Amino acid sequence: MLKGTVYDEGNEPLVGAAVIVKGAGKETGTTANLDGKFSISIPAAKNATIEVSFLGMETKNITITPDINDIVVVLKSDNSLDAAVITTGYGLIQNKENFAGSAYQVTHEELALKPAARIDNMLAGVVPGLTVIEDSTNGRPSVKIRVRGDGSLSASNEPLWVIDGVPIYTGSRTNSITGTNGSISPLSYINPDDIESMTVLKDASTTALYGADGANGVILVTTKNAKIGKANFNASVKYGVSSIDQSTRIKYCDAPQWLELAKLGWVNSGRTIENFPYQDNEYNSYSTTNTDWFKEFVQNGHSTQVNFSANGGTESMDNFFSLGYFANETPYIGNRQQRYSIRNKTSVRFSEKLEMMSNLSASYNHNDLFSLYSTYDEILPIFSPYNDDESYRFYNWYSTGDTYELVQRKFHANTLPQRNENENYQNTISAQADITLTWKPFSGMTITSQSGASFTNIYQATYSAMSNLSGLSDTGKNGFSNRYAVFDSVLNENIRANYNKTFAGKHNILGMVGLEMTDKKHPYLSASGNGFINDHIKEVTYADASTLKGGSNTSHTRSLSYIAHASYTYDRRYTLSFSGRRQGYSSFSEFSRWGSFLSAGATWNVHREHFWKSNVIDQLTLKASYGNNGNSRIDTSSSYGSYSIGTGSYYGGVAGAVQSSPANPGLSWEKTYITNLGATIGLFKRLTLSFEYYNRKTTDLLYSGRVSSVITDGSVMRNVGEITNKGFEFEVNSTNIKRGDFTWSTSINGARNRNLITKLYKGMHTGFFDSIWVEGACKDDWWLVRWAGVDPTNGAPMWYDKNGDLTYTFSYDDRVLLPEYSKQPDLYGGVSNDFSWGDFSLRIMFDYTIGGWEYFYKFDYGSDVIGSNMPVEMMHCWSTPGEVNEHPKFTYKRADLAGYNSTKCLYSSTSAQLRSLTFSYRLPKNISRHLNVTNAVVSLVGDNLYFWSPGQSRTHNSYKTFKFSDGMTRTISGQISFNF
Amino acid sequence: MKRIITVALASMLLASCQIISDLETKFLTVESIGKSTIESFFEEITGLEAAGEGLHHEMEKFFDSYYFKYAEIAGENLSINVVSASEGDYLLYNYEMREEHVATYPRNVWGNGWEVVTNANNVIYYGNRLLDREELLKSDILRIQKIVAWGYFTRALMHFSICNCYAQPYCYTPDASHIGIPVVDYIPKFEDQIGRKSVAEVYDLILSDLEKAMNILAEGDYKVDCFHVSDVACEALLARVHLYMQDWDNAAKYAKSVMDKIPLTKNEDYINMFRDPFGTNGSEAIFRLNQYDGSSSLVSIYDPTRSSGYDFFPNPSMHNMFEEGDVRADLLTYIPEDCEDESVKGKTFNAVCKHLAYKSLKDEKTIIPCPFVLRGSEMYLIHAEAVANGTAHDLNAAADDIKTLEARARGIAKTDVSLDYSDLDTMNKLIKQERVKELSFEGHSIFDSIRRGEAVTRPEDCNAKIKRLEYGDHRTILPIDQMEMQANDNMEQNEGYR
Repeated sequence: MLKGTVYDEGNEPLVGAAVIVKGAGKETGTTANLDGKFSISIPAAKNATIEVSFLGMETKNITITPDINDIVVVLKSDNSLDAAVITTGYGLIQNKENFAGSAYQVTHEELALKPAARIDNMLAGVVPGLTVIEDSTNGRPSVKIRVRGDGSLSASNEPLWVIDGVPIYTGSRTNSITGTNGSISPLSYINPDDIESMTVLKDASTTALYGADGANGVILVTTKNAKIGKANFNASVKYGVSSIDQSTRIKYCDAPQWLELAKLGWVNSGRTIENFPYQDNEYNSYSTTNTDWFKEFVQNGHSTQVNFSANGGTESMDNFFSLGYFANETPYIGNRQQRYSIRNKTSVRFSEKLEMMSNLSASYNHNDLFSLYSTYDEILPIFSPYNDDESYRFYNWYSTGDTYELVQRKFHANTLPQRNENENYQNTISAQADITLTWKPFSGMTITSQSGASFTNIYQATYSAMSNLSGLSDTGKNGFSNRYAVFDSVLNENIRANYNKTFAGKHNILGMVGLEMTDKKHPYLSASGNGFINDHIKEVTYADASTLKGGSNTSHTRSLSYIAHASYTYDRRYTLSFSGRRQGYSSFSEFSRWGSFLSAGATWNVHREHFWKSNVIDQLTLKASYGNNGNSRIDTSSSYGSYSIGTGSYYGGVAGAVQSSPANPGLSWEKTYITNLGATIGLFKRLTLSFEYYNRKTTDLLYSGRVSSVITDGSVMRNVGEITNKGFEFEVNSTNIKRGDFTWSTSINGARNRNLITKLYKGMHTGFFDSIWVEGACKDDWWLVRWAGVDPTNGAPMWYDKNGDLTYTFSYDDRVLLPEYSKQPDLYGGVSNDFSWGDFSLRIMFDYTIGGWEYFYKFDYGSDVIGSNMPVEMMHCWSTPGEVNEHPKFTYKRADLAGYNSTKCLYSSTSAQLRSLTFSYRLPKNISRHLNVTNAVVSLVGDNLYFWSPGQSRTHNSYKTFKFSDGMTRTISGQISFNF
Repeated sequence: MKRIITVALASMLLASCQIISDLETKFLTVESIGKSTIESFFEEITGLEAAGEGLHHEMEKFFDSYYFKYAEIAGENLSINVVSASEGDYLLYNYEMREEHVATYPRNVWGNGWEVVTNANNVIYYGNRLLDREELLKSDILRIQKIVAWGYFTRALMHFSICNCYAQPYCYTPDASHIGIPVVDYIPKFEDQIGRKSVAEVYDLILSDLEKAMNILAEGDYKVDCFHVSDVACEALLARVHLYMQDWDNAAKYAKSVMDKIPLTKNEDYINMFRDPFGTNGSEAIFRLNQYDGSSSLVSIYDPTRSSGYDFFPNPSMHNMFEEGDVRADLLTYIPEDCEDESVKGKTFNAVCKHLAYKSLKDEKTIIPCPFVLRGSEMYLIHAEAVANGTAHDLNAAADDIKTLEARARGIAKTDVSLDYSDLDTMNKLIKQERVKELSFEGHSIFDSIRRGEAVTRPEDCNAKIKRLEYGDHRTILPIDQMEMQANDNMEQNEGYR
């Protein structure tokens, strides 16, 4: 009989470590008890081998000679295995190999050195099947995240974000924050340096536990934990400079080019050049002005990031503490972000069985906002932002009619004075507090109560100064002040019992039952006034009393859920798992308040079978899962029908109430059924291939349909319709070279998604400007008139009508659905290469997109040339009979709608982007010792270094210049980081 | 014993299930603040009263934004500024409205009109439900009844107005059996089949609702201002409805009754009644819409000083209709005030000033028109038309009414007004001309032609492409919009638009 104890490196007993006696014909096994102790019988008088293993630890084989009867085994944590465990929330940690679901975990190493402005776009190009859609319009970036396509037409398509177990408010259906003027993503309030890992849950077997909010995928953010042992400090400083990649900007005319064009368009439209509106006069010298408006609005941006963290502790108490500062001034002058963050995580172990952890974090955020004039890059280059005396220009003088008559016009597009004189900022305090109590009454059992609270208070002040046009009122009450406040709270209580135990070394049981209650409140208020004595006062109280306005509102929802999970693994070969959630949601009426979400999954580790003998394939895992989840992020007030009192229904200054929605008692949540099939293949111990196929079907699709206006004028949400998203994802991880201390590894991921609307209310279609929802068609196919080129004889635009016949008349009725032109790419994903050699490491990341089409309406062939600047292509429009040209004759105020929504505006989205290049160097030990630190790393990072598209050119526009409405922001930064 | 234990356990289990279920319900019941469920909103009289104000707000929105513009733009008295007029207004002016123009009149009048009816039906239904309660104080009953009466009036006025826009006039067929609009005197549910009824059936509802409203309001002896519905407003509307039905005797009866109660606004107050509505209400105001602190879409089409100019202006020949010294002519010439922009100062504009409040008014929130739904002068014109065309053909009585209005407008004695009439035809022309002088741009124009079976005729100097639409032409009414046609299988399209 052999006795022993299993510890980890920190001398903690490893409860449940598996001990197996090998080579004795028949294997016998046991597990370590609560103190890490085990005893097992060894065949007598013979050398035997025991294998001691534990999840996340390196497995150890020990030869036992007959004279040994008491041993101590210390297992080292296996860093390569760190990635072999996956966290799916509610205390469930599973071995990746046995994991039946689809989840992707990104560790802090992969997140390190990424742009720290917000945590969502750190996932770009990293997670297969996750798309980060960055849109920077008017200099204010917004980010949309899609996991496996759009599953809904009317409800939100954004994933659920859960930070350390507490769901956070990331805005409404479209990510906008109700109550402020301009939204700042709450995901920018978190210090990315605090994050240990982010896990994206994609299939039903993982998201079913998140029930009514899981349909669009769930992103779990886990923050760093303390490590027991000597105190360890880390400090880092990062500084970066950002600029706009000039080659990604739309190429517009300069002033001489524009003047030439405008005159051409003017004359081509039958007007005479004597009446050309822009003629030099005593106020404007058009022929000598040449303004590059881009330069007026954009300069180099700077970002600074300083982080400090400390962690350490004893067996009875440990602590993680971090401080962070982040400042980012974007290249769009007037936009600044500052974040001061703090986090403290303390665990207290009262006994071996009882532990309490508090996780407190807060950040103070200051954001200066300035939205560029919507078409700032189309402001005429012949206008100057300044007068001759260098004061801001408020007026231009030109003619507005067909005959020349000089008039004074307000220059609203010149927002430079507004940028410098107006005020628009948001101050936000975002805080999260979690208290977790865990009690381990007996081996394998953990009872947890997690109480979490998350608060976001936003204060916004805007002021339009009377020193520029924006603050001038027709009534003479000048200077406009607005104040907004939002007090957002999420309270979450989760009580659960988790059980995890391996019996006889072969049977692993994982179980969980729990209860979760969530309460979300979103109160907000606002005040405004105008009519100030001067521009210094700004506060609403001092505005002209007759202009004062104020208001407040609140939304409040609650949800109550019962959750359960069970999985069983036999001999690391077969795993079956089940998850379920029953959820009630306050916004739905009593008839449909409760929803049930269930899923099941299975895994087969073929390579662990006894019959499997392959030197080539060292891992072959097959998995499948099926289940459903829901989407409750809709405007649900209508289920009861509502009356509302608001400024919108005042009568003669008295509060009036009107019906805002009719009763809709049958309204319920959308249900999404996901089938997920996957395979993982390991080759030569250095190459891993994973492949997943999914079919995501949403039924009871919330669709905003119409009934007779006699019943209600607005559209009515109804649970009708079905949409399917099908696709696949793959990932290849390869260690290409590993020789000495040189390693080169590559990771490639890719995904493809196609959706299909299978059912709509009464089979009715809904058309939009350039897309349409029709039964049996893909929601992402373009719906446009087919362009037929330019008639060489007269330069007139031509199209194909509905029947495919050539026509000279543009009509919206000729729009056809074009399955050959889909918004969805054929394949998209990322490639990253990692090199390390001794103390040097280099990471290069690319994003790629193959196929897919995007629509850009930028060529109007002169329609509006008098009012706005034109892309340079317009210089080369059709001019002489017989000329074959893709651009029709350039004419001011043309009536033929050339350039309107036809396939002419489509551009292939095939492209590649060098997303980041990271170079790090670890200073040699003798230097770091000299600096009194244990470790020092210097890094150099380039983000968004280059963008490539097939049609790109130095002289004309292409997908590359249209894709980024404001140009791609390129950042170069350096970081130094110390451990001591 | 065993059984007792089993029963006890079972009942304990049931009881605990019940407790849990109750707790669940309690936790998940959340009241949305600001928005209230319809049922709970009408639990209190104060809710009903707020809904009463809301009804007036809804009427204000409907008439200001759609109905008044429709009646005038499709009517006879306006010329267009093609450059700035909106697409919808332009199409309507040229009678080019089609079913698919869902962003403008065909849909807006319809959708917004029925929205008002929905609110009226809520008020009637839930108000009557409140009245069923026991132990109501007499004063509470009076409060509730007033709001319910407002609901009836609103429902009648809206059915009348929607019917004017989408159905041929009452006298199009001898018994008004031609197609009208749906009759909605209940709160419809999503599954309900909604179809159009005959015009006669629509008018049955209008008359019965107005009778109900009038009786309640007269009995309650309420003191209401001209911005709210009163018993006199019910009578005045009854006069107009009977005029449209060409029920001359009743039209004359109701008009006379109102004339006896409501004195005409004096000459010196006449312009201010329109242009300073909160300073000078005008004694003849019966029901006008309160736009205090709001916005007006009438201002945006008629104000000549906007940067893009006005969208519509009076036909120039209108100025010639008036005699020397007629105060009403002044409402057709806009003279910018001292406080206005340099670029317009010193100019004068041929513009509709009825809907343009003085910009120099002290309180910014009152620089807004309060358009009339019903006012005293109209009663004189209804009375004149009714007595002239009624069985007695009392042309002198009709002339007396017109003289009263002319004398007031010109600031002279009635005896100094001379009218030239010898037969009914001449008198009808005089009445029609007086209606244009008095009521132009107040939402009567197109209806005043077609209700008499006349063609819509624009004068020669009007800059419209189409200057004449024959009586019965399908373009004299609107098509039912496409969205309604698609969403409602029972809906029938108007002849000519199919």
